Amino acid sequence: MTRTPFFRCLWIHLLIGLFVVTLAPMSGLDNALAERDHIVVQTWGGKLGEAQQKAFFDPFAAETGIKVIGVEAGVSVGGKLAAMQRSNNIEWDITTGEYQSYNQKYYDNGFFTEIDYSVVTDTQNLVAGSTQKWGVAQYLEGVCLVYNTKVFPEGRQPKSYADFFDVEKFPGPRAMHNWGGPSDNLAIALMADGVAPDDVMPIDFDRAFKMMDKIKPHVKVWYTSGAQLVQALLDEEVVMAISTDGRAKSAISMGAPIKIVWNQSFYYLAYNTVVKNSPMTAAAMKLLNFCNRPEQQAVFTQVIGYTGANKKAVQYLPESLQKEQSTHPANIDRVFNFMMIKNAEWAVDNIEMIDEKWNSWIAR
Amino acid sequence: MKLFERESINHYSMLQSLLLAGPLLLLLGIFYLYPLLSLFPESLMKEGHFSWEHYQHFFREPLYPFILLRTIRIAVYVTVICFLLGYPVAYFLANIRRQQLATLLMICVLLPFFTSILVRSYAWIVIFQTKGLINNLLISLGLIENPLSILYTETAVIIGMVHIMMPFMILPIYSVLKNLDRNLLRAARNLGASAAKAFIKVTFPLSLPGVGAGVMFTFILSLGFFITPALLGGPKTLMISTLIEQQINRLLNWDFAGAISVVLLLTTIVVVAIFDKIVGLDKIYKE
Repeated sequence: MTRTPFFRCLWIHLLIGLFVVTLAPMSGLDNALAERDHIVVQTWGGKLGEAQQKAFFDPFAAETGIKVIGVEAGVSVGGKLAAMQRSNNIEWDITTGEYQSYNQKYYDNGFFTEIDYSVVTDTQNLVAGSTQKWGVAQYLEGVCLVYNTKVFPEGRQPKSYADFFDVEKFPGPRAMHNWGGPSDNLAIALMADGVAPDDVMPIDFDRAFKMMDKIKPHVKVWYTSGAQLVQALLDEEVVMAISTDGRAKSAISMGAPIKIVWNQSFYYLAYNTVVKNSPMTAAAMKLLNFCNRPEQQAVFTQVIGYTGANKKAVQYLPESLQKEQSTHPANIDRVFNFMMIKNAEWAVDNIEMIDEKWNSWIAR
Repeated sequence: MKLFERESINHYSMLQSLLLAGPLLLLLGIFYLYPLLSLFPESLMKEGHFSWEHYQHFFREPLYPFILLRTIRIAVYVTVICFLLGYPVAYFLANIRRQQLATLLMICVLLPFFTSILVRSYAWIVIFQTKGLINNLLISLGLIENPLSILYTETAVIIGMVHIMMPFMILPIYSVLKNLDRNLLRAARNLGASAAKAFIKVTFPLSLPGVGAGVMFTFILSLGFFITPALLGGPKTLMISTLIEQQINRLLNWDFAGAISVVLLLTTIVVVAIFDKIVGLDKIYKE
């Protein structure tokens, strides 16, 4: 039998193959069950991740001895969370930096654990809407109008969203976002048409898209990342933009000749959440409570520019920075929380439909 | 190449060959075929019940067929441009006498492979942007007064994609041209054919297997492009993989994402079948 060695060899190969393929999913199962000795936090990386590391992760580790590792992942958080639950391989304990609409969706899909408010106790000074059953707000991300000060000098400056949509009085290319969640763009269009924020939802699509049609030929940059927006502002590729306050501030610090219009500006809260079935749930809750400390949030703001959700954090900032924060007593009444306008949950519940309508409109 | 000749294949029985290929087939079956096939039942589910709803939705909502057609159109453009630019390069590479020069040029062709798509796409942004290389050059030469808008247009996306896909077109054509029996060409010339005629009658038809492979690679890979259109293009260059990504990552609608993927897969198969009818894919396999 000259064939025997050949076959024996082959069977061994097959066995190894079988072994590997059955083992691979099982090792995932092991991960989920095994207690980890450190917390893994999903971050959006870059400067934001740096700020979180410096203000929260490192000091927390120094105080409690529990190591915290930040893992960069931005655009694919939802898909990754779904995959983690399906395969029972929990790689992250905490997610950060996402708004209410998506977090609500993730929670409804069973990706998050309810926050244990007997551990997360220091929430008295957080801005309204910060404490949700699925997460605690970490910082505010403002949405505001910015304009080029060279193109629009004193006396001819845009003051509202209506001016942003007025291409005759304020000609020139513009920038708007085309990342997830287009409902704020449509809300801005309606506000520009004279609708009060509380009457924006549910969105009147005909009216909103009629406004958007007027401005579409003038929107030169539909940015899908903050870096893209900053570049467009720096190159003066656009004369006006709907921007986030953080990106506007960093463009200004890099020398862009732009100014922020606080009128009609609103903000989103970005939340920390705890992933369901995390082996580090108890420690994660402790970290979430730690993240509420105003002095740490002030450190965070000084690195990234975003305002901490704790209203007391402003006091710990240098004088020059205090007035720039939306939670400063002089600003807090001028801005509003986009998720606290009347019927805001309508946009959360209809996210697929709004996305589809937006995609159909913008793809043409 | 002896191993793949018919006589040597006959040394093994069907069972033996199957077993030889076993480990790889197992790997592909479990990690590729199984997930791919499980898309079908998943795409036929709506809230846990069997339903055609996702497919109906795909064709009822004008957005999806529209984007699918655009995706095919962009892939066709990229393939045609890659062929027109790539064939001469492959021909030149295959006919170079000096070995060092050939190696150097080969490195130039392969170099893009060693850089990530992301980095290359960002490089194009630097070149295309309003105050970028191209505009600065044209303005300083006095050819234009106002900067051209290239970035965030379909042109930018197609240029970026052609750059990335070029090696996939050049390499298969090159390998066929390189192994061409030169005596055939000499015979043609000997019998009085001009250089151009010899190329059209002999070289080009014989290089078709390489062209077929290159066109297939380029077209199929272009259909699934994701990063380049997102970075270099705007809303007008939205391609179908971006829609799939949105359904998976943001809307968590994996059933519908499955349905879009299945439609894309079937479209690809249909296009390949049409291509096969016209060009004859069997030429790729038998030389």
